[in-house]
Amino acid sequence: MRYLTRRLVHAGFLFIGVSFFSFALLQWAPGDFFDELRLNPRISAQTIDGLRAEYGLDQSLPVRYERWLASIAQGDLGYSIAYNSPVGPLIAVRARNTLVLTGCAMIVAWALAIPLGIYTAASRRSWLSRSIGVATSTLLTIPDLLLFLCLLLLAVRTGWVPAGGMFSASTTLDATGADAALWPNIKDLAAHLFLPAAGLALVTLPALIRHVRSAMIDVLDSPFLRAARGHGIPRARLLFHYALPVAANPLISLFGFSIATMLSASLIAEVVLSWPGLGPLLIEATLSRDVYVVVATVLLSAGFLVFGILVSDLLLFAVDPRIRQE
Amino acid sequence: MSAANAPLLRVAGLAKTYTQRGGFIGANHIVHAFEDVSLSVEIGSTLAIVGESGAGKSSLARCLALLEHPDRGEIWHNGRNVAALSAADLAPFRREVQLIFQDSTSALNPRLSAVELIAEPLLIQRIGTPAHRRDRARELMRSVGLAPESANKCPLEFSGGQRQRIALARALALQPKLLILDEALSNLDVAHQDAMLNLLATLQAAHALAYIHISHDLRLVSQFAGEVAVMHKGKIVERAPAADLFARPQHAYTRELLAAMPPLETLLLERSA
Amino acid sequence: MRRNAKLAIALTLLVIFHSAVLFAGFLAPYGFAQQDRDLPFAPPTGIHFVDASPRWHARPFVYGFADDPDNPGAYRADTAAVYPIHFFVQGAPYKIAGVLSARTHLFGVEDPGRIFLMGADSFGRDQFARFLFGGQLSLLAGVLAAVLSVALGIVIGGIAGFHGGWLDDLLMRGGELFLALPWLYLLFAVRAALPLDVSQAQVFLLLVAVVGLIGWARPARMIRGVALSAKERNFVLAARGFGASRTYLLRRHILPEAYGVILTQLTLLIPQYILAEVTLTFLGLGVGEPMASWGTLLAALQQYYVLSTYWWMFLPAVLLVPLFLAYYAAADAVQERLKSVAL
Repeated sequence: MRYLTRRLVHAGFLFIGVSFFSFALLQWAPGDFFDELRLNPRISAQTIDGLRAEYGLDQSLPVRYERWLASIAQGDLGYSIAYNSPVGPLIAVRARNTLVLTGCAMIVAWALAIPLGIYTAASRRSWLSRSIGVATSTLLTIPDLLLFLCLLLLAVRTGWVPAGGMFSASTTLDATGADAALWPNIKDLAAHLFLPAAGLALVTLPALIRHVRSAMIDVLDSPFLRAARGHGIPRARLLFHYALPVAANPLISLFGFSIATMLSASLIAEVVLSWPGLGPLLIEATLSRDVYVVVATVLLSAGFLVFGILVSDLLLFAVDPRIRQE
Repeated sequence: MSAANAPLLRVAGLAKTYTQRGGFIGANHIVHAFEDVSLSVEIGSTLAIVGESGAGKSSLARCLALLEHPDRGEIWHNGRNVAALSAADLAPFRREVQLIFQDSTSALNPRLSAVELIAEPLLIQRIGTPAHRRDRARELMRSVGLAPESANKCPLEFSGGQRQRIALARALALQPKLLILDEALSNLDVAHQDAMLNLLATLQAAHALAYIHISHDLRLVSQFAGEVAVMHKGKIVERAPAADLFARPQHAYTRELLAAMPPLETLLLERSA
Repeated sequence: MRRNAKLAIALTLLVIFHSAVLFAGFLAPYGFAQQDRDLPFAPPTGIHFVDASPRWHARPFVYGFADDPDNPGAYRADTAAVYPIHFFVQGAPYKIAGVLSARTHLFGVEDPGRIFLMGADSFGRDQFARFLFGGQLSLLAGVLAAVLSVALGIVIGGIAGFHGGWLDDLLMRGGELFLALPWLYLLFAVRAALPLDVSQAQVFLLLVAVVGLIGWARPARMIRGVALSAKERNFVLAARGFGASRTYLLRRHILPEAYGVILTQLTLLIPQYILAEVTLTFLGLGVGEPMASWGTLLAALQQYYVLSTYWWMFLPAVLLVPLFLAYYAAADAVQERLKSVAL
């Protein structure tokens, strides 16, 4: 229980740290966003002052931080100038799309990394292991950007998969005004999901394989496993019943951290492959100085990350008896 | 007590406790290294502190040399309580009291050459020019029996015994009055130990050096110590001139230690006492 | 032996790349902003020794461009127009390292001929020249940002490791914050806080500063580890016994222990930061037109028709691969060296 409390407190601190950082950013942005409104001749100076007071922009920093935190807690994430709407609903859809993409990519990446990592650790000398090693090294040196561009090129040239967007134009148009629902259009979604998810998985896969491999090697070379081998326990059982549970500890921690890498990579993927997620939103917002959107996006991505780390901590607790004993 | 008879170092009620932090939410782990240690060292004398291998003795050695700060107690040197001084005021103390470590390999920075290592105290205390420091370093090498030609070699190119000599030469650079040897001979074989003991005796006679030998080896200590203090579980349980201690041990633990020595040597000891 | 060969090749590649970029003005036949509106998206010019007659020339030459009647917008070689390649020609002025002025270029052809080794973009600008000049920006940004990160890491990690206690805790928790977050999002957030309308030079410096400031956490953590273990070493204790000040200890005994780690971190961070600059500029948040950075070169690829028709526009991205390979190989070699010394 103490472990859980510790991890919860830790997650809390992390999140507060990010929120403060984001808030500070908001304040540092030279001029506030109402400067943009001021350019609009139809809005009088009094209205702007009134809006200022309403948003509490004339108060001191701690007061503003408090009010900002309070409003976040209530779900009010600010207002977007560019889209002329509250940030909350705007972000919600994009967040859902990013989650769909990164979720799929995570599943694919880990589904490949675990068996490949285990295999290359267990049979270190086989030619297959060595080829996989070469492939991962190659993939590691290819910059993310290049990989996504290549995938895009592949799609455009061959037309096997759609080269961008989340749904086909017809699907989006069908849904009258509201955003297209996921489940009814699952086949269309899957076709569009293929390219970005594959790209994301490819980009994070090599590092994952390496880590799984080294975690497994650490366990396989340890005395207790050598003793088990000496007892004549069959190889498969050795791997899955003895080695894997011990290797699970560092791997679950790795899972938490791989979310960060995945999120960063997804930003590029979404932009290059035109996936309507948080990435393109963030870029637009940065270019148009739509600070509330920027802050909310950063906060949200940090939130995903912190949540992911917390989940991995919980998993660790459930899986590793040593942690339960602490 | 006139100034001429004042002890070189007088220690009163010294104590040190280590607390291991238990992390963010967790109990702290407390270890008492030593408590209520009082002793004094006369000029040119040799005091041996013996006891079982454990944290107490080394920790005491470091506190005596003020490499670590004691939690309680006083250390009197030249009329000042050096335990209460700030780092800036400690320079005179540092010149007079030096420590030699048990492991010569870790005590010498492997990246530096022998002459740089030996000259380092002079460099730190800003004594002399670089050329003068090098000469003095070579002189010191000669005085501890090292060939000055090997001045530019790195510590790993020397043997264990030779490395301890480098450490000794370095400790002598500032012309100290007291050397604290923290199990300094324990890692050497018997032949080297003998050689070192002879060297130490020669230096003591030449420079009126005082020594504090920290050791777990009673046999070794019996060969040269003037006074012996026995440490047990962080406290000094008995202190007496060497001959008295070996002939008439008072404390149960001292008797235990003596009993643990091989019989032939006990015989030799009693004969020499 | 093989290990040394790998390091030698890696270092050679790095030297070649960096020198080529440094002498961009000399190596490139044209300036990076020099446009030729008549030749948008010209393909790379082939270098020939034998012309259509067939006649063999001692001096290599290129053909002129002519519009391809079958393919509007495409070109074919005009075998009637032969332009020999001259070496050490006088051309557009440039500056080496921003200081020395010169006009000599390694090679060139006479007007109206064009020698596009890597083709041209939509404005008819020589991609080879833009690649070299862009490299100046991207490589410099990467190196500067990496140096900044490592320098920050040394200061913060050194203080944390050496001081220990609550300061160490505080600094490392702060670092965790930076490590745990998706760096690209952080980068954008910081970039968003900075004004958009600044001069190109300032944008460049801001970019370097932002990228460098975000990434201090990992080098700091490694250097803190070194400082923590080094400060417990007996030779540090001995030096303290001679009255050494904290600065002396850090400078003479602790920092040298960190050299290996510092070098590894640098060789690992530089390619990452180059990529960060390229990505940022690609997404429109770095330096802008007409400055060439590898990111601006690649930005053109965001349009489908460029991507699928003009393959030479891909070359800058492809050329990044051997550069990164060289850096990673160098980092590997340094790490292996470190391990063997430590043993």
